[in-house]
Amino acid sequence: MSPALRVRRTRPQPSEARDRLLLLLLIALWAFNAADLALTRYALWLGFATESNDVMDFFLRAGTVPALAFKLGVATVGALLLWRLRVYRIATIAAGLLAAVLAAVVTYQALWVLSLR
Amino acid sequence: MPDELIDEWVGPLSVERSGGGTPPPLSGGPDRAAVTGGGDRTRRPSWLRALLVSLVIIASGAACGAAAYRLERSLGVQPPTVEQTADGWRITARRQREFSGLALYGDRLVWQNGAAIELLELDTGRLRLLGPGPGMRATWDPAVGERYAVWFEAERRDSPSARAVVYDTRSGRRWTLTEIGSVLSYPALSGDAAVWCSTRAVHSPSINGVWIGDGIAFEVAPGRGEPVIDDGVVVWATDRIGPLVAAELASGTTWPVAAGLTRGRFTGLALAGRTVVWGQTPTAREPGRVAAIDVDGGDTTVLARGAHRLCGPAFDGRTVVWGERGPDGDRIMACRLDGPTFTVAAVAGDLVEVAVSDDRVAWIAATAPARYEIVVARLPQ
Repeated sequence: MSPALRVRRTRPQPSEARDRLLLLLLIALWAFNAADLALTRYALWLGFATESNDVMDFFLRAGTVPALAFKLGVATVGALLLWRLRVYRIATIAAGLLAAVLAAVVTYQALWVLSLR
Repeated sequence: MPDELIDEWVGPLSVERSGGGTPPPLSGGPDRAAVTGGGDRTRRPSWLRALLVSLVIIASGAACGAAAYRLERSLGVQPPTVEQTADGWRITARRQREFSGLALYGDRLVWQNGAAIELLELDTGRLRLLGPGPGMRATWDPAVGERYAVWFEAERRDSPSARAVVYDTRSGRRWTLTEIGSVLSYPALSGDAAVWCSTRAVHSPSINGVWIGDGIAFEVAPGRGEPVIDDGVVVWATDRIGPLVAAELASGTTWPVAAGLTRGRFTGLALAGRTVVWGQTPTAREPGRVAAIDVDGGDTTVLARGAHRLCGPAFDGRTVVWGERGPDGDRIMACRLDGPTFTVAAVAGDLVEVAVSDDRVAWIAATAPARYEIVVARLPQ
């Protein structure tokens, strides 16, 4: 393999301070996932929205509990995975980006639902 | 997130862990002590700083979400401008959108704004977007009653079929009432019943309806027309010149109300209680007029005569309101069934539609080419 094609391995860089940030971001991610589901469920109940994600639509049709279990299950597995990779900076960066994106989605949804009420 | 930001705000990248070794400095990078100005100034890990950084990240994401929402409202939804006036409201359409389908009941005003169905709470000035729903791109003129608002939605503007959609003002929910084969009129609404004219099979139009509470559809009578409904009585003109036919939903009885017009044609039909009011266009021999009749029979009462460019009428059981062309332009006129005619307001522009409920009157006017506004005002005492 030529040196240009070689995959560069990121060196583990443990940091207690970064771990704290990552933990808070993962908690926020988990909470945002729960809020996203609650707002989606409410918008569906109001009749102003449809679920465009086929997988989530399947679980929402099955009921709130299966949808909650699936959504929070995926969020928990993802959070655990990022926590396992916490020695790498990229895990914190990924958690930060995900938290920011989910904060944007939840804020948008909340404002939209408030305009309906 | 840049690593330097994490370093600066959360603490050092590398803190010695129990049982762990201190990682080597980054090759080619500056010495950490040099960057921080000395080992004494290296920040210790802090929950507060971590919390602050995570809050900054979340706040920046939330700000992006709020900005996206505002951008979509201004570019995509394009709600009208709502201004409070001395005795009501003025709603101005944006970007050459057309207003139509004005429906007024109590303190709720519903109308069609382009492809959107909008509701304004007249007591608070709060504007709500009711439709079209997801995947729908076209709507037709709505109707509003004590509790519900009903309108039709379709995927395409030229679609002959549509779905009847209802919005419940108590719960804030909307849902599909029924699928309609071929739409021939806009819906009319009273209490729990909505009626319209549609075709289920080819060449077989009928006045159809649905009980909103339980979703049960029913046929009022075969025939064609634009029905109006109040308190379980449905009235429609079988043609643009009549005759008028009435049906009672409770008994299923249908009976003729009045013979057809000998001259002119209907400009509009309004029903409140058991009184039907209609407008009639002028002809060479006869001026336009506004007239009323009891659905159970009797003589026709002429409420106004000599109206040109008649618009409406609307009737709420107490006041009849219509628009006509006066010497200085269009104007809103009104009268009680047993009282004199009086002028409500002069209209800026060309009058399109009128509506009345309780002590409020509303109208749509085209104030300039492709520029529409809705005015809501109190009726003169």
